[in-house]
Amino acid sequence: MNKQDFLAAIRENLNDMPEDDIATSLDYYEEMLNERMESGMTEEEAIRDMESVDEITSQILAERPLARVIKENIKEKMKPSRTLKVWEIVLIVLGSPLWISLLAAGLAILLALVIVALSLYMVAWTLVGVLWIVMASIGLSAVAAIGAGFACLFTGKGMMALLCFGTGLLCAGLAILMYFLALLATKGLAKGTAGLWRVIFGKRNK
Amino acid sequence: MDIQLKRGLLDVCVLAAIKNHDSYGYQIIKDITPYVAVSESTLYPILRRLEGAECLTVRSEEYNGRLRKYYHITPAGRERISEFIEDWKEIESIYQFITREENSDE
Repeated sequence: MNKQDFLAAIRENLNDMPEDDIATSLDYYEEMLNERMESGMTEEEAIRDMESVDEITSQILAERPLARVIKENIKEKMKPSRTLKVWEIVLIVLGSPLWISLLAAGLAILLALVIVALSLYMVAWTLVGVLWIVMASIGLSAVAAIGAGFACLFTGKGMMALLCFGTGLLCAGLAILMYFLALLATKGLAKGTAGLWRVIFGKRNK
Repeated sequence: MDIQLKRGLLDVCVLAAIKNHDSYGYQIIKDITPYVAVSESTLYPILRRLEGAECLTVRSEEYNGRLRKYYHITPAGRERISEFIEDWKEIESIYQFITREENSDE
């Protein structure tokens, strides 16, 4: 190893330190090498007579005040994002027809997907609405059938009345069933919507 | 020597080496070594620390076609040496205590 390599090795280990400190350290150790060479040693002998690069640099690094070490580490992590070079800007502008249209296409697809999702959501509510309407119509039919039953009773058509009452009761039962079905569907869809909402937006409130 | 003890002594040793005349790194080590072993990598942070504490100043002088750093003691540095000498009296009496204790146990 020659003098330059020795000093370069020290510099490498001290990499994160401020330049001033590195320069001072190198000056010191170069001076030590020169003193030896002046008292007769060759460059190689002088380097061998010195401590190892690791011993030297670990001593220097160990002596740094803690505040400085922390400051240096923070500076490293908070380095500002680099500014664009001239050729990078030129390239971006030249390529703009391509990436602008790609971007627009991507956004359009995204928008279409959102619209489709919303439409499906509206369809879901429509179906729930249909359940309620079916319940209502069966319910009305029940009322009508029972009413007809009473009418038949008063006009003496016993069998007819029985038929009407029977149908009426059947419809009433179906209507009640439909009511619960529709209610379940409504609650389910509502809860599902709220849950999805919180997943997308709600977490920010935490 | 115990490392902790050594640490306290070396700073003052270095100051004492430049007490009567300015000196440079290599020479300081040669002056101190007969009394306490100190390597170049140990001396370097000491010099930096003393400079930071304004106990010495540094200047570069040309010597044989290259630059050599000379260290010069300041009044604050001399003060440090005086404080050490004062402390030594205390150390001396503690030493008496430690060695006397051994004898009185017999």
